[in-house]
Amino acid sequence: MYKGVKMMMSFQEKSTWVSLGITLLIFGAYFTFAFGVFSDAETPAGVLIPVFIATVVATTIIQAFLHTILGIAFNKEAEKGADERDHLIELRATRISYFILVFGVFATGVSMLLTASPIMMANIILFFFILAEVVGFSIQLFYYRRGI
Amino acid sequence: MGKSNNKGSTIHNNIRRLRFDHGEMTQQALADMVGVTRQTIHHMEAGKYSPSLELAFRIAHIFNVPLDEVFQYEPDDS
Repeated sequence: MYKGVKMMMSFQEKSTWVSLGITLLIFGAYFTFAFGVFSDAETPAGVLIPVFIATVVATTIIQAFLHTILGIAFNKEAEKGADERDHLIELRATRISYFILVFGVFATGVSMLLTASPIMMANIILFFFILAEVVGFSIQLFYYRRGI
Repeated sequence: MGKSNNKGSTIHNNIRRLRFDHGEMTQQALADMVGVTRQTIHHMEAGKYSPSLELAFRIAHIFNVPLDEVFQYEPDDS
């Protein structure tokens, strides 16, 4: 008889968890702030521009830092890179998140017809871009756990 | 025996038994030899992942057996 081997996460799965966590945390905070700005007629939407730049810079730095830590902590796994199963999982997730992004482009087009401001339109497309990312990461994690 | 179900067919595999027969080769050792992660070998054995044809041939080559000794295809309508 063969003894079952305890299942552990692959490096790619750990990396996906990190990306999902950072995206949810930082952009969750950004969109909460942005929603407050758009809800308050007295606050000029222009205040979002520096906040948006800071959000993108923070995301880039934190992603790079945490993935470097992850790479050092699991250097053997990290060196191997993604295998065919990782690529297949990524492809399936991308196929679904692509449709969310396309819907976002249409939603932005509709908002243009409704005379939304350029900052509002930029935030609508950014929202769908981030949503597509979050859904993509979540689908990847689902396939990593359930199998593909 | 691992078993993965796709639309209209089932693929069985004997990877776990073949590892056992080859000096109790670990999943990690097999993964290193065929160039995938240990988790991919684990998922194949559990029937949760059907490998590419190339990977299937690489596994059969490592065990020095024909492909159909590692993987068996079974249509659901049989």
